[in-house]
Amino acid sequence: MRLLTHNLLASNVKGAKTGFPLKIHVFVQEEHETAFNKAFLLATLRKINWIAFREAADSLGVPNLPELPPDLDKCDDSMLRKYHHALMEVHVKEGYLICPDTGRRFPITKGIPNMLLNEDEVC
Amino acid sequence: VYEPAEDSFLLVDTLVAEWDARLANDPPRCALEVGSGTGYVIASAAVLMRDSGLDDFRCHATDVNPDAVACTRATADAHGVGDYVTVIQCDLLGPLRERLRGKVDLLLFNPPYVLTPSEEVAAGGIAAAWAGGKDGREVLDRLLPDVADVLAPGGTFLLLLLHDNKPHDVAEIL
Repeated sequence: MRLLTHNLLASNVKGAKTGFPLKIHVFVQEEHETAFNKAFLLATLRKINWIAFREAADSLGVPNLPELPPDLDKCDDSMLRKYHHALMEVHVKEGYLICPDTGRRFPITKGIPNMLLNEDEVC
Repeated sequence: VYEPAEDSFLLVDTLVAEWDARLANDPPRCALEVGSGTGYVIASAAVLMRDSGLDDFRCHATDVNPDAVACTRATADAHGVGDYVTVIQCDLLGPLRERLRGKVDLLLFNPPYVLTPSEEVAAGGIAAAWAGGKDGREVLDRLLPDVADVLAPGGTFLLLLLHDNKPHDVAEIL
């Protein structure tokens, strides 16, 4: 699971208010080089929730991203590559996601989050 | 995992036909397949999107079956579109529903459509791929209320149905 994916996940457990963003607990993380596509990156960075991204990156040991969404038009390539790395190249392989409202844990196995709910957790 | 069969091919053939007729003019940038199985359909969509020259697109795939999500991931990677496809194990839209509200240009679903006793629907295992319960609609009917919300303005929903699933009723609900 890369941080781009994490930015799209909101816990839908019964009792969750927004369920977003999920906290991440990592057992195993990996880095895989991914082609740097500037147009894709810029378009994506404009759409993501930056604060959730920054917090998640922090928890994966990729600190020092700006607190507030940067002015992307003013970012040089080296900064963009840093964002690309955090967003696309860091993968949580094993671990779990934690619903911020209910504490419910969702396992991540082989890089894929399991967000299936039990019958009693469905709204 | 449910292997691609005539219904999967029909869905992809329809997607390709829609693409050539209409979608290619303004290609969808956000596609989501519910119940992706082997990943054959979503990978096909991702390839269409990539080959249309879009450099900003995203595909999402969900399935309740852990083998299916692993297979979808592998299929997307094998077609060189792994970086563009998000794969989540969940029920229907699951945790993507809120964040993708109003964002999905192309929604794809080949649901469990076989008419079966209701008890078989939640039985799990590979039956989840085809057991559709009463009128073969029990799983689809849980997705229908969310379709309008998740689709982007002008978005397309490609849904595979049997005549037995009462498509006119489905059209009414939508």
